[in-house]
Amino acid sequence: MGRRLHRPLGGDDDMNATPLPVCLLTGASGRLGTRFCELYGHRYRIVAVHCSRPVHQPAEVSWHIDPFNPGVRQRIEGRNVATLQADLSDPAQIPRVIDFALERFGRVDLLVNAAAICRHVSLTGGDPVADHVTAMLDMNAVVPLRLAVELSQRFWRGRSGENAAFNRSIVNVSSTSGAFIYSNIGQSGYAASKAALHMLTCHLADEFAAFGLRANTVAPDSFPERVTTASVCDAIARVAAGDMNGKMLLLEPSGTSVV
Amino acid sequence: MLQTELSAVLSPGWQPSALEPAVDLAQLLVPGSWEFCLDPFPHVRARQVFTADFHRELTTAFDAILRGQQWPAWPEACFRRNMPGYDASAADLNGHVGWPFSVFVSRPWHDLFASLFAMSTNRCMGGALHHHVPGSSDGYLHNDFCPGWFVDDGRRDEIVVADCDRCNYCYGTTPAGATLAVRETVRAVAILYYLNNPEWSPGDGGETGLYRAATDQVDQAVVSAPPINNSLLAFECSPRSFHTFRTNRQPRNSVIVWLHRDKDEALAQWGEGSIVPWAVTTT
Repeated sequence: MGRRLHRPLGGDDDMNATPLPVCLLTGASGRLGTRFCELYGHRYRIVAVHCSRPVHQPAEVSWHIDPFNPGVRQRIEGRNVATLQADLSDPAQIPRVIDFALERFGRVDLLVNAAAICRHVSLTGGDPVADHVTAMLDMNAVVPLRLAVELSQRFWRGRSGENAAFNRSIVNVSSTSGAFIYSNIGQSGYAASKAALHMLTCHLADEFAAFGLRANTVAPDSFPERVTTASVCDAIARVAAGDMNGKMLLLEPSGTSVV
Repeated sequence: MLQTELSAVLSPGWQPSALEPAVDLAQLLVPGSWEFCLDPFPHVRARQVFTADFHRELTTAFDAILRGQQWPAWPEACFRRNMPGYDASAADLNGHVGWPFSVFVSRPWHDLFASLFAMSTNRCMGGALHHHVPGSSDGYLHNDFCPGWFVDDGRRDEIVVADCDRCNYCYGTTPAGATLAVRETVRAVAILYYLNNPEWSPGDGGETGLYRAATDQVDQAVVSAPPINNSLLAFECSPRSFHTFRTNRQPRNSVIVWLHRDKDEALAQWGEGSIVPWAVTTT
């Protein structure tokens, strides 16, 4: 038999020998988080943060193959999903999440804030509206901010060159309801939290640019009803891989647009 | 690996014919692992595919043909703009293709990719050298699940290369007065090998984009394979294998080859109406 010198191949788009980027993903056991792990578990090392439901370990979608022995698929090492249970509404959990990510992989290249609370409340009804809105503002806008600030203080600040070299960024998952009014479906609190998230992201982009970090929001229409969950995952990955900063990518059935 | 060993791995019982130049992939490929991925549809990517020596042979031959010079092993090779709707020129591979491009229509090359995708192919092959000048237009999303017509001379064990002088590859038409039996097949595997390109950097374009759906936007590929020299992209052709060429700022050169399968088998897998007919054209 001939030589069998296996050269290492990264599995990302660059297919080079550098380690896969590390993605810190919240909301990892939700519909979006689960699909993201399935579709992008081979392109990122993912720190999958979940609350109550366990994270579904994604099926592998890529392997090394030897062209002379194509029937044998070899697992691509270095690709994995590390899960962590954490109640992000508790501010004390934020440092623990960052500790876990940095101890596990030594870096975070992409922060995807996908954890969210969505409660439909009527402003004219009898529910404790303010409590619901407060919870949504906290989880949907303040928690992403806490994670971003904690990561910047613990890791990103002082690494301008490295951040730019690895194209590090934050992608916050917002919603078209943060940009448009959908009448009479009780989305006031949810919409306000997503609008707040967008504005906070713009300011993160503005201030974090000082150390070479980008921040954007991806704002999909409702998924999987009006846009596919995969398309939202793809949009997150594209924004992460691109050079956009301080923008919102609206993802609607008619297509995407940048705001 | 000796050629006989490789042949046994790829196709038990196969022996090269006396007329077919011996192609020993074990001597031409750089040992190493390629990457097989199911997302967005089954495809293979590899870098540093051929040895430096063979890659140099390919680039020398490609450069000569691209410059309009006669390549002794394939004197009729000539780039033409003969692909309506596709902003590139091509030199079609045919039964007269000589070294080194004959490797791409060789039995070992065919069997390797049939094995990679576990496809029941029929040894009919077609392909071309492609050249995109800078500023070529984005392609349109398509799946390559198209017919391919070949002269049916009864051979089933040897490679049959498309021969447009005898049988139109897209429509199966034959020259007036010819009494040729023809055979309709369907593309099974597409292989793109990149060569003779300037050093590639992000933003240069010329990538082959892979997509989830025909309605995806062309600039939103799930996978982008850049035209990096001595790399390849191969994928299974199916109703889901949506892909296209991305506009380029630098020249983009490649060799593309298709393996084919019997039409009945393709229909049995994907159903009536799944095969995409070629647009009727007068050119």
